[in-house]
Amino acid sequence: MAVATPPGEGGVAIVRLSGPLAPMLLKRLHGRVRPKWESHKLYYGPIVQADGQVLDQGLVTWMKAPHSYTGEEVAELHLHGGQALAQLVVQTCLIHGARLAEPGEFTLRAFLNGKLDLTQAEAVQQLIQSRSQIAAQLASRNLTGYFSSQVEGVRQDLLHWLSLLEAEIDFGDEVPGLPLDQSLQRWGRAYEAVDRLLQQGQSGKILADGLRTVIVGAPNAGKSTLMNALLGRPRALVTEIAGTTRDTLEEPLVVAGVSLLLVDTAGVRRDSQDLVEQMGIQRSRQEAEQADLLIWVVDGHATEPPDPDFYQMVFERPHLLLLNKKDLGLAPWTADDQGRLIGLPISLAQGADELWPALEQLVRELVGEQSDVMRLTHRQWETLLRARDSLQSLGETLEAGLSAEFLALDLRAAVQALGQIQGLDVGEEILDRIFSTFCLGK
Amino acid sequence: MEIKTDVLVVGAGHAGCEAALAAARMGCKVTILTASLQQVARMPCNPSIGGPAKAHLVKEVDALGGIMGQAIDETHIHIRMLNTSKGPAVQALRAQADRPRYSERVKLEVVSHPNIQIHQDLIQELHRHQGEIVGATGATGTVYRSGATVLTTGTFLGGLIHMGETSFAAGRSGEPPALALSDSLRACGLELGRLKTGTTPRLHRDSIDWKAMEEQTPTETPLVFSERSPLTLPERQLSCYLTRTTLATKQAILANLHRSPMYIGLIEGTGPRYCPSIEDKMVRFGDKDTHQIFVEPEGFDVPEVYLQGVSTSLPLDVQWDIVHSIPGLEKATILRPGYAVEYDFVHPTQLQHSLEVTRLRRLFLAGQINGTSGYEEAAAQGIFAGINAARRASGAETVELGREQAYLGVLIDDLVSRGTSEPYRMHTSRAEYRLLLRQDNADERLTELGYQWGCVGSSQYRAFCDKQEVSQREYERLQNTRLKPADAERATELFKTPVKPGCSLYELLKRPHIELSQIRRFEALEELPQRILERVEIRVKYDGYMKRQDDEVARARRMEDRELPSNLDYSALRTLSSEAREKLGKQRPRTLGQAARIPGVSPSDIATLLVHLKQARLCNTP
Ligand SMILES: Cc1cc2nc3c(=O)[nH]c(=O)nc-3n(C[C@H](O)[C@H](O)[C@H](O)COP(=O)(O)OP(=O)(O)OC[C@H]3O[C@@H](n4cnc5c(N)ncnc54)[C@H](O)[C@@H]3O)c2cc1C
Ligand SMILES: Nc1nc2c(ncn2[C@@H]2O[C@H](COP(=O)(O)OP(=O)(O)OP(=O)(O)O)[C@@H](O)[C@H]2O)c(=O)[nH]1
Ligand SMILES: [Mg+2]
Repeated sequence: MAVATPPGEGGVAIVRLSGPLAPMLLKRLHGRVRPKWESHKLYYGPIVQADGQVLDQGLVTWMKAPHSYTGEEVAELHLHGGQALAQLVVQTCLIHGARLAEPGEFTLRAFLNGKLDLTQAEAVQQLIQSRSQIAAQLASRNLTGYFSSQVEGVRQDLLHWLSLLEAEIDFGDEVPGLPLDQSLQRWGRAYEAVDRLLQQGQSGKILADGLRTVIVGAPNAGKSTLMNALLGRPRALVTEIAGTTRDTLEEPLVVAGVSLLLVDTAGVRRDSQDLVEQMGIQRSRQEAEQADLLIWVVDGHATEPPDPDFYQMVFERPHLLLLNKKDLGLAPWTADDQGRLIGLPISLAQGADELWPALEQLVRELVGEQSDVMRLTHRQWETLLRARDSLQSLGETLEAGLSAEFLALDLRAAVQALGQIQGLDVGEEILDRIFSTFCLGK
Repeated sequence: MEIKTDVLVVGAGHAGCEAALAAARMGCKVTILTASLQQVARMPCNPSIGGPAKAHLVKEVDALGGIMGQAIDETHIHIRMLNTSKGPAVQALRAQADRPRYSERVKLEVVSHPNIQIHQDLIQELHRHQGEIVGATGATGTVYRSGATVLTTGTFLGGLIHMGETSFAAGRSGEPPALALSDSLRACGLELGRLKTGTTPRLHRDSIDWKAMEEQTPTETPLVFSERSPLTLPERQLSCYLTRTTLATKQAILANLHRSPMYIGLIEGTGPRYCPSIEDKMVRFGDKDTHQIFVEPEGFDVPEVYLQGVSTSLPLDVQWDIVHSIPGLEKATILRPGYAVEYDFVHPTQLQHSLEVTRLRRLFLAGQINGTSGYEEAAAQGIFAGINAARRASGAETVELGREQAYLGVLIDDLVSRGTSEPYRMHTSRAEYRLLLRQDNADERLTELGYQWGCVGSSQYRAFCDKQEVSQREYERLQNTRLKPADAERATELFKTPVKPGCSLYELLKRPHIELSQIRRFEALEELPQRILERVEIRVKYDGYMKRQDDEVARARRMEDRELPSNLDYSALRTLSSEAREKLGKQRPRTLGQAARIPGVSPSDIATLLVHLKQARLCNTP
């Protein structure tokens, strides 16, 4: 049993029970005696505690095995929101003998009962884990087989090539070999396709895991103020003492539907005497180096421009430059020779509203065209890599001028890897193709 | 009358003869029965042996001491190596047999073996006692009692010949069918299916205009299948010829499709895809205007000529039209018409990897009865069924072969794990470890095993050991010999490629286009026997690829080594799909690897089984 809706003050909370005893429990929780229960029907009525006290008025439903998500008997209680209420119902279930589900256990059961295949089950797991809107979209795209169909396309091409090679080997009398330039063409197409899938998967990975967004800048520039403004709550300590932030702070944030991991860091300066601060600075540099996105906060009111050493590192990465403390007046160095400001002027103490449009735009640019991205599971990723390795070695075999059976070795490995993503095997399929393509036989 | 025997072999085709000979070599008393004593080891279709994957099977039969390789070496009229532009793994020998002489040669081996009794009798019924088959009764009334029985009945079970609108019961052209035995098998609880195959018309040699066709000449270098045959060039060989069908052929066929038993639904059995009838080819590949036809003599002193590619069951008058529409055959006479034959087979998923029937101990099946087609496929199963029947009869455990050990292992695993819905033929693409399963190393893969099992005689084994020893010595010599500066210079000049001093002969041989015989000549050493040169050369040149396949085998082993408990109750595993539950319960695979190859058992079923195995282990360990 588990609460199936995310924690928070949502409209409805759903408590789900799965297993052979679920219908029995449901009858106990539903405060009304019914002569007959029908599967997949909603019933309205009181929901009661073990001692008969009414907790809520809500809808309940029973799904008969195997026609449910998990393939087992399933009961669901739809409550009027509120975690506290959901928790009370959960407690009542525990008293009646139910047990809390492990994370992902419903999906595991659905998989074991043959309700979901491997790819679907993995997609569901991601759906559950994905925090942001885009990650959820990516996962659901996987669920409907976008990724599968992409992989299948490449696999079919390679399979066709393989069947040509196999026909050449087993029916050499009747089937001529493929000329080298055609082989090379086929090879190039496949390699590119798999490589593209990997790249798309790469940006999918970023999307779902979150962009690591690191706030950097000199001490007292206003980094922690920015963090708090973006989060909309006072998360980081803000003081007028330079060197307030010592350790890094991480908080999730959703921008343009993409989840970011916001990292506040210690201000970087050269002349720090304090050992702890020095260590903090060291970390800031490391963080900046691993960032997907940098926000560089500069005190625009300061008399001196920021440390030029820092320019290099920031400008090499996707970044935003903020000229903070606009309210105090910007110093002359904040504009270039033509009088254009070198960054976005802002007063973070008054909020980050002016920053949002720029940030959203940058994030969108970074994750690229959404339609091109996929969220891959670890297994899918590895299998694709394996397919690419096989294709790589196929390229070498082609170059060495070896004959069909050696090419077939790598090609088969690639087809196999791609097939494994969907749980397909080669064997018979090659023969089916040979005999439907060629007129062979004695 | 009653006859007692250790091993009873029913059928004297390619499967039956190898089975009987193997069991006899292993010291068993063998009785072999045939519907007709005149037709032992008959080739009812193409009189040719070998080709890709099939030649590999012949070599494996030879490595296990079988007769097929020697018999074809002694009686062929034409031999060639196919795929010579490719590597050693897929090169394949093919020979045209002198059809009657081949059969005589095998028959002689069978009838002259002191442990074998051969009789003409048609088995009607099997005797079952407590889940075991203990004997059989023949049409002569004779009762046979046996320690183990091998059925190799070919196309005879419920055999039905079709030619145009006519059909009649027969085992094959000119031989009686076995009608009662199918019922007896069903009564024993076996599930049978129906398949069909066909053959082409035979023409009179003297009625053919040979000059109008393209000649294919046989080899000019000595080639043999058997390790035991002397490597010499035959005294005399015949050519084969190539011609093509024409538009007139196509018209003749398409105009008469309504008279084809296949197309009007008289035949219910499924035919082989790789061996389609000419009418099938015209329909399925309608856009192709012409098809290749090979014209092959059936022997030195036989008038019949075989027409490869024109398998048909069309009425006789259409067959005449077809033949006359082909260049070179305009005036040809048909001696024997082509026909199709339908027959019962036993779904091979009911067998173990030893070829023993899962639910009927002491009964082994081999050859076409298991849904295969082809002489080589039959012979290979036959020898293995013979080995296991002999072991069963003498109280020893049966044995199995893996997919990485032999084409025979692939063949049996495919049949037993996947079953077949059409006549099954071997292809090299069926073997995932193709680079390891070569013609040249069949003896390395199997002869030692065969010797242990007792089906390889001591002279064959000794010859094999000698060959291994000499090859190994040569291999090590190549690794250990490094070129001195003067020799390196000479080698650079001779092989036209830069050779550095200190380079080993092994490294030199690894380079493309350098052969071991050249290296030995360069060293002024005497030539080694061809078979040894070949062995060493392949080992050196393709080392890297072989290693890769070895790794793949090792990886697959993890699945193959995971044994499934023999008492596992699949019906209780509710988490399996119902199809998997049924199939696994019926076939009872021994390992997880075998289970994974059963169609209908999905990866998630395997994942489920893994989970259950793990749980079971957790429960068993305190
Ligand atoms: C018309 C025809 C066309 C074919 N075409 C092809 C082809 O194109 N390509 C190809 O690869 N293969 C073809 N084959 C198949 C090939 O001939 C067989 O696969 C191979 O010969 C099978 O060998 P076997 O030992 O299993 O059976 P067979 O060689 O058929 O031998 C069967 C033996 O069993 C005996 N027998 C049967 N029933 C009984 C009984 N009840 N009691 C006692 N003895 C019995 C028979 O007398 C015979 O000796 C064809 C076969 C036929 C008949
Ligand atoms: N006037 C003005 N003051 C600001 C603005 N933004 C931040 N400050 C002040 O600047 C001081 C430093 O701000 P922090 O956010 O702590 O600076 P920081 O970059 O995190 O500093 P360290 O953690 O020490 O590296 C605080 O006193 C803030 O109130 C602004 O827009 N205008
Ligand atoms: Mg700070």
